[in-house]
Amino acid sequence: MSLLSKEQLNILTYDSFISDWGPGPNIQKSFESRCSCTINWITADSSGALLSRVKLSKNKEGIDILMGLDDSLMSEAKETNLFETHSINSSTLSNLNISWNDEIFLPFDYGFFSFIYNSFNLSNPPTSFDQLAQRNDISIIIMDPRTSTPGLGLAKWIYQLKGDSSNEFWKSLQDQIVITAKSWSDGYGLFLEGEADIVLSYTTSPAYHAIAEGDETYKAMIFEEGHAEQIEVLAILKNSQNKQLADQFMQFSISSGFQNFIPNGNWMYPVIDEVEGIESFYRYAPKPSNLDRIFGSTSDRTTWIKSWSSSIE
Amino acid sequence: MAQHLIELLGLNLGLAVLSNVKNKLTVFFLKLPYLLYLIIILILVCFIFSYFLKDKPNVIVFDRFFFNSLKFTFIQAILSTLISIIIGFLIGICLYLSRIKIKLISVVLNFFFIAPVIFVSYGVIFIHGSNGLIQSFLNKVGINFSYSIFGFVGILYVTSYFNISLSANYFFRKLINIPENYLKLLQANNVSFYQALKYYLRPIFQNNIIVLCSIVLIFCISNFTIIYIFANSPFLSTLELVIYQKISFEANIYAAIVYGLIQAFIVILLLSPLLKISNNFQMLSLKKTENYKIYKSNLLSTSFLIIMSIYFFSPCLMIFKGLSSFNLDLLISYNAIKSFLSSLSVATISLLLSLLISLSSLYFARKLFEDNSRFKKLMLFSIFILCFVPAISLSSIIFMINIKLDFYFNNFWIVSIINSCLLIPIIFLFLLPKFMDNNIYEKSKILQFGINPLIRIFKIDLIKFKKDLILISSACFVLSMGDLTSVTIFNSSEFKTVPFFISQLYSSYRYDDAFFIMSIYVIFIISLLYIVSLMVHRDATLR
Repeated sequence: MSLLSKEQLNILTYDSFISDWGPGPNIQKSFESRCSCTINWITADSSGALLSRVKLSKNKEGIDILMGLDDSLMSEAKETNLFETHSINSSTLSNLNISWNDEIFLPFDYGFFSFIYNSFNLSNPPTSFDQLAQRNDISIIIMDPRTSTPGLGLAKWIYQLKGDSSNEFWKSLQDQIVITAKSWSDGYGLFLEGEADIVLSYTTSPAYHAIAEGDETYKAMIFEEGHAEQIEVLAILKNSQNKQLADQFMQFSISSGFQNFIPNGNWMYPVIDEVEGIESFYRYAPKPSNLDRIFGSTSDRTTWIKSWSSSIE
Repeated sequence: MAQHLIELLGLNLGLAVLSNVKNKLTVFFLKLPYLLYLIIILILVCFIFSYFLKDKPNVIVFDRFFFNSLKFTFIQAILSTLISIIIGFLIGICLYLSRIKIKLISVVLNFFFIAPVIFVSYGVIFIHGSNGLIQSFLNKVGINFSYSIFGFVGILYVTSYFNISLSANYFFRKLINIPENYLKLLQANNVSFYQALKYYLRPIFQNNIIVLCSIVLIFCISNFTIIYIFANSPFLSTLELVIYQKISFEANIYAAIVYGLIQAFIVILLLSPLLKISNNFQMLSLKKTENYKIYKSNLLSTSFLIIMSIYFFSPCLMIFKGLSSFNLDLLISYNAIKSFLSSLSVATISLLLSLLISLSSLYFARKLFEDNSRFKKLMLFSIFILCFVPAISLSSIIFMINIKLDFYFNNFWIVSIINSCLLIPIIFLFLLPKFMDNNIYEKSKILQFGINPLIRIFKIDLIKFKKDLILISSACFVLSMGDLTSVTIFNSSEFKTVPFFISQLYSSYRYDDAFFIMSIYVIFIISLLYIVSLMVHRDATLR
């Protein structure tokens, strides 16, 4: 290696993170100005596909960091034994409301699942799942839990609230579900095209419409029983060639240099409080009450999916 | 004198040997790309078997979702094929009777066949969606009628869109290739068009109809994006989609390969007629630029053509929707230009690779047919085998091989190789009729005059199918530009294609921008096809 050549940090993430409008380009600039290194982004088409990629290749691609894994996949990821423990003190994640003590995964943003509606078309939204199931006038777009993390999040959310009676609850929703999209982007796109009254997304989605498009008509339904959460995490791969640099990036991921770009780039909540311009974001994306956090195992995931698949025709 | 004669004989013998060696070398180099392709196929097959032998397979579940997907894959494919063939037949007849220029029909039908699936799908939603143009119109005039385009109906509607145009193209070309003398004979005997269809033209359509059905069925079985968008229930899923789920979300390559093999096995059983094309190779070749007309359109055929034009052209209104969100900054942004250039490069390399292998395969196939070799069907099978394997399974197998090779090939080359693998059967099938045209007569002349195989290709074959070659190359170029299957697995920040860029916009809430880029992309495709069509029809040297 010549003296002038910079070290390269290979980060695997989902594609929207590094798009021109995602947080990736700004985070890259910010980190590269501090590390005298270059970031090489490698992408998969969805959050769910990230883990599969490193599992299939046993990380022969030389990826240093995997970023964007859904918390419901953490236990499965740990079973692969492909991830390294980190040395970051994560108890300072003030905005996460809990003391994070996982030794492998570090959270970098989070969100709450919710149904989004256009207040121009729907003036009296339901305030609970039971009310929603009774409103036959409301058509719903959800995502397939087998191919989409929000879809899996909804299955978890319903199971968490309804337990063994979740099958019956799914059945009561069935007639209202007009589309089961394979991915969040397809489902949300069809909602914007007017294909249904509400769509499964995040409580932060209205912030995008209000801040980026100046459209304040989109709102998130707030359910009194509480909302399930999705935490996105990152971790270092065991066979990383740049562990020191990877560690430096992990530390950077919970600093304002990274977190400043999360609300208006990834449209999720940052994990720390000290973030620039966060007030307007919270105005359009207030945090709902959250349910107890569940970091489901592989068998939990199977149970959640089964409760959906055995009820829907 | 005797010594001089011996020297002369020796020289002649030497020249003959030299010419023989030269011919053999030429034949070897002509066969080489096909042989390399064959090696790749063998590597793929060996890899599949070694994978099962060496590693412990993950659990492969044959649950009700699998059986449901298997059932649905074939039900939707068979129904779509039937719809496509029947409506395509009617459109082919109506187009033949109409006064529309062959050139225009050719460009339009080609475009409908290779139009990006995502564009047509959203175009259909734009028209038929709950908030679409039709529903808005009905609401405006106070008619209380609503319907949903999602689900099985939508899947059939959009899947048929592409395949109707392929079948219509087939039947239309069959009709315009009817010899003028034959038509004059029908005219002299006052045979009506209906009678001609029923009694005299039927054999012309029947010839190779099985091949057409097979091709359409393959396209319908490999349905992915349409199901992805239109399925409104977990049970409306094809095997391609299940395989995608197994690879992308469960990292279960074993299940992906096993499911892929099951699909391939059933398809091979269903499509064994495809291997019987040795008797007649006339399929999609276009011989005429204008046809001799004795039959004219009537009210029924014109009305049907108008209805079908609405069906075909209405999704294209999406272009106006996209252009209404014109965004110059986005269009000239670094990533938009880079993705466009990446798409062009991938399409160029894929096309060159597939052309090279297809031409070599065609040469080899013709030789086997001329020699009446018993390996001729095996050779055809080696070409069509890639049609039977689901594209996603193929991509994942190549991904796994590249892992074993320590990522020797970068993403660009992997995507180009996969695309070219998928294009080879299409080019082969399209050019085969012209390649085999008159081959028995040619063979005797070539032996008689001792013509070098290379000269036969460049001076005889190429002139024969130059026009078809340009047409199929442009279509394959567009198909390769629009491919997303392999790009979803193989991409990095340095390598993005236009469809990938659109998908990125899509997952970043930027739907209007995505539709805008999609519209620009479709305009580019239409322009490209139109320019190629002008080239083909203006150049008098192109027969």
